[in-house]
Amino acid sequence: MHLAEPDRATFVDVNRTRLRLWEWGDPTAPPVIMVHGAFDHGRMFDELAPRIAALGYHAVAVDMRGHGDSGPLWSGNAWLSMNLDLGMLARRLGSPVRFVSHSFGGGQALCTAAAFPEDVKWVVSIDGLGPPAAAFEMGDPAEVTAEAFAAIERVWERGARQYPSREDMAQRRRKINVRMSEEWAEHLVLHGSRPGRDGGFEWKFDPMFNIGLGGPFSQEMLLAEYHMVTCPVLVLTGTEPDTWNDLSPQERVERIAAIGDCRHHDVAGAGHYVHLEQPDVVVEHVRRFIEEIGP
Amino acid sequence: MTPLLVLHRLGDDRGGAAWRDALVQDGWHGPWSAPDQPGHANAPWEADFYEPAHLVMAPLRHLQEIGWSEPPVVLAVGVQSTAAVLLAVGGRATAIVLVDEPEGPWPEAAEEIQRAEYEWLRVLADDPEAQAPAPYGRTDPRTRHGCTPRHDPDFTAEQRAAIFVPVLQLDAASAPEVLAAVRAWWESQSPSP
Repeated sequence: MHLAEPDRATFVDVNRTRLRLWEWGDPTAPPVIMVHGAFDHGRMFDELAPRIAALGYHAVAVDMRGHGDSGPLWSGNAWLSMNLDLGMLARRLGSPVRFVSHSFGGGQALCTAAAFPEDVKWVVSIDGLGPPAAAFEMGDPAEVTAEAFAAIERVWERGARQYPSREDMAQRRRKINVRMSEEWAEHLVLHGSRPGRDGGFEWKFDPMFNIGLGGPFSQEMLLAEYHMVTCPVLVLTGTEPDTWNDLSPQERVERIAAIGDCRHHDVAGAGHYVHLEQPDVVVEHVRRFIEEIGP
Repeated sequence: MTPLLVLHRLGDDRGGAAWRDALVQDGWHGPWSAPDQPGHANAPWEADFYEPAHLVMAPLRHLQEIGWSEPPVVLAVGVQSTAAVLLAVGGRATAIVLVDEPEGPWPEAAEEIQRAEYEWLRVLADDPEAQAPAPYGRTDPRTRHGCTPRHDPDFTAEQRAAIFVPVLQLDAASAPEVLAAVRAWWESQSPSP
């Protein structure tokens, strides 16, 4: 696997935070914002971004707030902050923008398209239709809240979890994302970690990101959000069972149907990280999508 | 005596000063604290927004730093009630006093809730002062847009059902009047030995 460095690495200050941007292609071309999933970072698009740029775009992969080199979080309930970050970033880059997004980033892109319809032209969501409905069930509020408080205080006291080496981090990552190649795990670790305490290493993502206090959200609200997306959307999902692609077929159909102007393709030979496993197929689907709806 | 933590109203230009003055004048017995919340008076802005999960972070941190030997009575004004409720649900309050708790009306249908929330985001996006770096020493302009309008009656009911500490709800009143009411109420809750 050979991955070139981004053409430019910059920062932008928006919405009272600093976001790291990894840029490819002509900066005067129409912008495509590439949004990674939870716990990842913009360098996961090192293969896809230059190929999106080659289609005639300014490809900008962002490290989301609390991830990579971007600003920290105040609390784990950062969904809306991130929406506003993306809306403001779209305006800064020159709206309307396009989104190519993965997993959690897919949810963020759809939500931003719903909140700022005039600033978003189209969205490609790679396995980013949200978790199964069961994940929205909060559980016992007292238990959830007490556990979250304890976890928040642990982060304040101890900071990020430490790992003995980057090799160890990559191995652990592959135990979770079982279909991820060794090269990709190493790449994501290389750009997603930093030296920590006592000679160890830690992930760059803010440990607070993992801690939510729960809130009023439901499958019904998710579908309402999707109803409000008016731009064209392309959804790509892998056919292979994998960690974090656990929507039931019925849930998937229901969510796709909630988006007014949506087309969906299954990609064979891929799990959750469709763009890492089948980049050629993803690029071809994006190319056809653009051909259909315009740039 | 059980300590008292006061969370002043969001957008109060004096931060917690009015409450601190009232507590001193009152000669409040027992430990108390009425800190300036982030983005107010002399407290630097730290929050992403001003929504329930964010509002509770500052008092949680404050309680950790202050190290009281028992959870306090939390007196919260206006939208800070949501933080007090979370502290109670999470076992970090001995009792809560909710002054001027917002009552809505809230949007109820899922689509209305989403629409209201997106409108709130657009208002924040379109307000240059709310986007500019937060000023120090004066009230953060972002506070004028209040909290997210996300409010689900079922969620609220479930949360309230998980509160097992005494709750006192009060309407608008001056700080000294509130303190007098709290003292009387708390004495009635805590029988003398």
